[in-house]
Amino acid sequence: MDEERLNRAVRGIRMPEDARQRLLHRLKEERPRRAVRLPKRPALAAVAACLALALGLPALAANVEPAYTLLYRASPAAAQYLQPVRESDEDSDIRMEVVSAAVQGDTAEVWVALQDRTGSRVDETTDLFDSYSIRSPADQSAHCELAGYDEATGTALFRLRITRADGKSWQGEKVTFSLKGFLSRRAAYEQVEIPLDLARLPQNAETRPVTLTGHGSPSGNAPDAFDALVPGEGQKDFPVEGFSLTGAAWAADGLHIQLAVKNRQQNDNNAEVYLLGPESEKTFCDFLGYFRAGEGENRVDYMEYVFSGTPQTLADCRLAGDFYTAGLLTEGNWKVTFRLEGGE
Amino acid sequence: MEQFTPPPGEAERVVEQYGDMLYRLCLVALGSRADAEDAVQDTLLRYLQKAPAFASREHEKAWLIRVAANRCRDLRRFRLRHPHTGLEEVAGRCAEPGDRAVLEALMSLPEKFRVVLLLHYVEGYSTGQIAPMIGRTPSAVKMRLQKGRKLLEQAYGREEG
Repeated sequence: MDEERLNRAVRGIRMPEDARQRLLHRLKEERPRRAVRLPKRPALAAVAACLALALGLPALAANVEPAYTLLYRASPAAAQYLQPVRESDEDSDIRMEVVSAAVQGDTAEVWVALQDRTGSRVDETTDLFDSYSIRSPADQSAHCELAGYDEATGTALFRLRITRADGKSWQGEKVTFSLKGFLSRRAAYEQVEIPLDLARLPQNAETRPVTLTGHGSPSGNAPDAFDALVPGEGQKDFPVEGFSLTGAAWAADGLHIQLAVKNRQQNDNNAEVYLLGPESEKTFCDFLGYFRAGEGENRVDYMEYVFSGTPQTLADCRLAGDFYTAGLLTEGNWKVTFRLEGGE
Repeated sequence: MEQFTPPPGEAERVVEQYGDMLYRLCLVALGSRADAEDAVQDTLLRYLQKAPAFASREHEKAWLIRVAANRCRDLRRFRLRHPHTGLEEVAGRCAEPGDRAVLEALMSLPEKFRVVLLLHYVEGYSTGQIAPMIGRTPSAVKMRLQKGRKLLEQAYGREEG
């Protein structure tokens, strides 16, 4: 057998461009922990469309059938091996049901439905935020994603994958899934230009050290200290509601752009700010720092983006960003205990 | 509670650097383009969310391969598929017509041989390096390589003939 030919043949396999774009879109939608999830899910778009009222889903009993219909539409293959659970809890006219589950060794797949029985608080952008928790006999990690939505019954279906840290099987173990709230009515505003003349921004701006609550950088390491701009009043008429531009200036380490968000615990407003070059090519920041001021109702969360460069080197750049907001936080107390069985 | 956000551009970097490699591994393992896309997506999502600090790019690549291999195994079990060779989905992707025969031969083998053959002959890993990636002992990997090579030669001979 010609090993060189095998090598060449396999290396000739490349990810198709449409698949690459879908992948990038999906990866950029997802954020750890405080995930900003958008309604556009390329892999599930067709499924979500099929779930819409246009297919004429029958007027079903509100408590069980919508979830199962969603499950079969979202993953017909999965529905065949899943073990029904059908345990539910209701609060504030929102019904949460653990529909089905299956076990494969140290990983369990659990399907959870959320239905608004009286209103439209559950929609196709519903995000469980980081308000859910899983109590189990073992340490675990979980990943949750929206799998489908039925507009007719106001039901969203989520798929959770829970992996044990100790590698043992979940089979027969009892777990409790709790939810304290969820976000919905989310919107995304992409490539919105922020009208600023970068060359005319203040230079040698005053900064002060702040305590970071989060960060992002190529190295992944948190700096020992971060000097942020002193927040200003906020620019009037910022192009996206829910954000304020509280600082824009040149400091010793480059261009600082500071955004502020109020009530971030309730709206999870988030943004990715970048520079656009002459050909609209994107340059992302070299560092992103999160910090906050105030408490409770007076709390303000700041995001400060730092771009290396000078007014001369970045003279041809414009400032823009992708902004993500959520219109509604619904709080409650939902809890379901069930046993993990099936699958394998 | 500290919040971590992947550095801007990280998604683009990891797709650019590892997308093709992961895609062909998952495609050869699963024999289905749709499944391969799901597996690559799940692998890179997990990378962006939970990846540890890496000592080197090689360490990072090996971690990704291990996660992808596990994901492919999970997908095969969850979807209760019998070995699905998906010849056209894999062989149809090759640029050189002469390579089609070898890809068809590869895809005719059971999945456990395809993966070790790819990791050894295409990605250049030793049996000792492949073992932790697929959760097997080095001796088990060596046996799979030997048998896989033999089966591939037989299948390739039939394809060429």
